[in-house]
Amino acid sequence: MREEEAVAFKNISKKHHRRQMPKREVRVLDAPHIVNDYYTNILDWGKNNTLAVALGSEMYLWNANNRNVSKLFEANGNDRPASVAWSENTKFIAVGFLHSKLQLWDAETSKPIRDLEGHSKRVAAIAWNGQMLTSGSHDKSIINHDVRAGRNVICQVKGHRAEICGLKWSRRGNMLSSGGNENHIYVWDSSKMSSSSYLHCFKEHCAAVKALAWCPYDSDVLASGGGTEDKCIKLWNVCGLEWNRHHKEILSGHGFSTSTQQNQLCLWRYPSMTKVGGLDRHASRILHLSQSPDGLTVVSAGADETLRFWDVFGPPINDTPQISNLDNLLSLKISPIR
Amino acid sequence: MPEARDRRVVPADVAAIYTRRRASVLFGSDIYNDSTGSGSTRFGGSGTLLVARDIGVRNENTPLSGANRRGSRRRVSTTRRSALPSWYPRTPLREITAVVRAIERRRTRFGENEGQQSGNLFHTDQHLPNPSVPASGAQLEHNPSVISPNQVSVKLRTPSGCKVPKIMLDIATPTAEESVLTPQKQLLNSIDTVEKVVKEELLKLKRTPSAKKAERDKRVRTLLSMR
Repeated sequence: MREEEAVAFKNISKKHHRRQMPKREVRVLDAPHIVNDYYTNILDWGKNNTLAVALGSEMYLWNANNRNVSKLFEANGNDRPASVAWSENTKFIAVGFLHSKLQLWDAETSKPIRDLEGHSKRVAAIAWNGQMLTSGSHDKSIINHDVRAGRNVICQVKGHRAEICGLKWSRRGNMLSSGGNENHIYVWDSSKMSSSSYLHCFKEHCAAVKALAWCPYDSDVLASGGGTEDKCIKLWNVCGLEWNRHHKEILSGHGFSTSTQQNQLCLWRYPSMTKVGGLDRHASRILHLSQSPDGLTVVSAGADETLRFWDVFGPPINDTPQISNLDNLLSLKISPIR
Repeated sequence: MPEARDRRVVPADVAAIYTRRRASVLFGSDIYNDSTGSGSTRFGGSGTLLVARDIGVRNENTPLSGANRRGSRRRVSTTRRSALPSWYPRTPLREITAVVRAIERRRTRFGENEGQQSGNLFHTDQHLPNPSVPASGAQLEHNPSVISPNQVSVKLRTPSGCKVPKIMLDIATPTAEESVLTPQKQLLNSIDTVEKVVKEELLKLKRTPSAKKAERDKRVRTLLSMR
């Protein structure tokens, strides 16, 4: 019993010791015609390990297991996707468009299922909460849709005074955070969402809030990053935020900046917010971030028309339940001498 | 009534007039408030962007600059610094890891020793073009360690579509003299040869009548969209 403890403890400390910031990406994919627009969220890595990304007016799917590329659709005329989100069960892909359309696609048959009405302008932020789809638009409203019902609109909320740039549901689905182009963040309670009743309104940001991410280990913590003029929370021009599920860290992707963070991916330790390191490989600003279902790899889409993959969140701490048991044992300060 | 003598004759700034006229047209359409639709791809990748009408709302698509940000529409020079050279054929979501790394290495090498580099270029020219089945049979491998320095096979497809010839290059094993070159240098040399062949192929394609027609159509579309 003692030996097992000792070996397990050694393994943990070895793993901590070996963990290093990667110097470069593990993979680069060509992303021609990716739109260089802050007001889009056109990258999403589904739980089926397939990446959905819009390149210009076309929507592509990249299977991370077998690296197959397939084209889901091409938008008509001058229209193009402005946002994409996999449903939690990966059966559907929701796509918001520049010309106010919101479409639901069947991921298995690659066919469109329905259009969801309600918005009058660009739909640049969408987020799933179970069977409910929430969309935020340039028309300043947030709509909750029931994708199964004939009349899809559950409720329409107008709180923001400008375009909705970011939307994220909390892990438990009880709170919705929304970031707007007027620099405000609203947090809504899912059980009572209306234009006048919200839980919080944060006005400290000095620029548009696109990056929102709920902390996986502190359910009340929300990380937010503002655009170019923002000087808050030491995060400049953040277009994407991803929490590391395996270690207490958060990764931020940056765009235009006068500081050294321009075009960088920065890793910060939580909660101290000390910078662990930076990855400076994109030739132009970073537009989107997403992470793999196993939480070990992050993909960044840049204006340099590349998708870069980073193994920055690992290695995972395996067998978490056992470790917590081990922690408990160690905390009891079992003396090796019995 | 005689003309005032103090009236200055200012040459009409055609560009400014066009800009103002276009701005008034586009402002009328709310959809294009923050960024044009497909315009960004049409106009050679530069984002043609407008400042949002809402007061106090900044447009996050304009990079930081000291110059005026208010009101006037400006063509933002979001010149896309693509990781790939302009001649490289683009395919959505194709693995370009090795290419990007090789190009980066080449850039650093050019920084290190410029004179030396030009002497080593095109050493492997004699073996081109020699189509043969490559060992991998696929596109450039994403893992550079897999590529043996002796055999680099590249399968390229130009973006224009169906009738495109596939160029297969097999750079043969190096001579004794070339074995002095490190694997990295050999890869860089092979990139140069690939670049040369691809450029030639692209020129050939451009000269075909269908390509010329396509280009003419593209220009017509661009002009029509400017109206």
